[in-house]
Amino acid sequence: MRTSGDIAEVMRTLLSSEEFWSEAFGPGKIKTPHEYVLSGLRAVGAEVTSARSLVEARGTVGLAAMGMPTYEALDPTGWSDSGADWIPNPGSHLARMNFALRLVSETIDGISVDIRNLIGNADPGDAAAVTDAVDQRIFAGLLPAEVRAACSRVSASSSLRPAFKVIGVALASPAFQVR
Amino acid sequence: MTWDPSRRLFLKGAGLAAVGIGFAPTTLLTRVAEAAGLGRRVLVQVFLRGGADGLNLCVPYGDPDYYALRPQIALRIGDGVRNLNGFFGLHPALAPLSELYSEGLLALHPTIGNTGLTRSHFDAQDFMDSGLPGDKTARDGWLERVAIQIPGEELTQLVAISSRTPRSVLGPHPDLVLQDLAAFSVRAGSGGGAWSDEAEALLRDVHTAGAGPVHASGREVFGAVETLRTTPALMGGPANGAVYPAGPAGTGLRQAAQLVRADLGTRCIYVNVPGAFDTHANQLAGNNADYAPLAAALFAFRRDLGSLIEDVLLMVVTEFGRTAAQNGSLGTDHGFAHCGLFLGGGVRGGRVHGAWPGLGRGALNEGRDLRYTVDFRDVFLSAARWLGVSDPSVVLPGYAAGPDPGIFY
Repeated sequence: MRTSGDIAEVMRTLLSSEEFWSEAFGPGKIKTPHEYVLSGLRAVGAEVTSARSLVEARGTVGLAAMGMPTYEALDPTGWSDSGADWIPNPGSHLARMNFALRLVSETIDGISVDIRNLIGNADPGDAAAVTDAVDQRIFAGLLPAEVRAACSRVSASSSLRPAFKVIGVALASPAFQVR
Repeated sequence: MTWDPSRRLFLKGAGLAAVGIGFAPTTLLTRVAEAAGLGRRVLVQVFLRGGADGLNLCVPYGDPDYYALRPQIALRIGDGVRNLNGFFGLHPALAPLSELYSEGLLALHPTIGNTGLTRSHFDAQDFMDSGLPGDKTARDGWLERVAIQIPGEELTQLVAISSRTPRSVLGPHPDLVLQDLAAFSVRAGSGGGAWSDEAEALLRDVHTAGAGPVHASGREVFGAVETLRTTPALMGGPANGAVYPAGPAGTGLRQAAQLVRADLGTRCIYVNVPGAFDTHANQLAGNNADYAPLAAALFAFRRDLGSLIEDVLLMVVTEFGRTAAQNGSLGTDHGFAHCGLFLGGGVRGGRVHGAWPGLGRGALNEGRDLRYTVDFRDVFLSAARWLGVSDPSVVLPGYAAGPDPGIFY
């Protein structure tokens, strides 16, 4: 207001304000189901040959289960893009976690995942090593302590290697639910 | 067989008598104790999205203006309309409801409306869900405010069966929003059940501490998963041979019945029913498609619950009715008064409630719509009162209640 609308000055003020930086780099906004699914697919480098199971209206594992069936918003304003409108909703939140778990175990039709892209040279049987890789690759080293602790505790079982479990837990955790 | 009120009193009396002579299995004792209080009552609200037409639902076949206004889409007794009281009849596809009406468990009120007339779906739905018409800044829902008045904070007190959180349950009171009770569990897809169990435990730990909304939501999720898992009644199928139709009304009411039977302290249930109720064109086909599963679901719900229907008050509402006259596409447009359907022990059934304003030119609102005679808020307050929540200023703040519409006991 001092400078009577000088754009450059406004921008400077905005960019140097506390609010701007806390929004961008603070606790983070909650992802909408759409953002969550897409970021999950990208994080694991998924190969999507058919998105049908994710977008079909009666689907039990995809966006419909999270309450955001693609293109089926009732309001003309479309789906809310504010994450806070999507959580809390226990059904939707549970659907997100199940999506993360199933994505990594490749039990979603039309989607395949090669986790070597993600874990690099880490031994898939070593939970701690995989946790480190995931932390670096997806969370920029900022994986919260309680998630790290849970990831490190996954059991080694014959039916599913620890690496899959670690990635599943990390993606289902609150750390991945926010941008 | 007609269901007369004295029969209900007899059943309650029989329960007390059974206690008196020393025959008291625990469940009966609990039910009797609760029957004395209101602790078992459950309010179920079914919301038909889109503005369902009241005139072809509760057909005023005794009013000649109805036929003048809808030359191609009006319904006649000869079309299968089921007579209710000599003036009104039921849409043919709602025929299963005749039996509930004769039993005295079902009532209709064809002139319910809203002072804040809006022909916008989104506004009208929001206003009805918040109970605060005209207030676009309202953030919480009316059922939420009802639930807050009920002692206890259990997640299961307030349940919405819907894919999206309906506005009616928004607010600080914990609530459970889901589509499928039976599938409400961690399902990791592989690694056997053992991995799903392990994942559940690990993720529960991750969410235990932490103040943010995601952590708080996670705690509710796992609380609900645990509660639902340890309640076998929720996994059982419908009782008494009830058969629910496919579709949102059927799946919603089937689960509502499970919740009533499961005795988890559920007091308010909201069932969202999307459908083709917004019949701007070819209304006859649209109504036939939607009313049949709705009626079948209500009928199955009553059959499923058996005597538990005594403790239920179910109300079917919609955001507005439709124009009295048909339009150029054999349909109707957004209107005003709508028809509510009411089912359960809390209902003065076997009646069509409300005065009939008529459909003559001078009787219509703006020359287009059936007028309403009862504000939906008075219906909601009356339902809340039946549930045991009697402070209207908390349920609908700022509203000076009108007279009780007399639909409920």
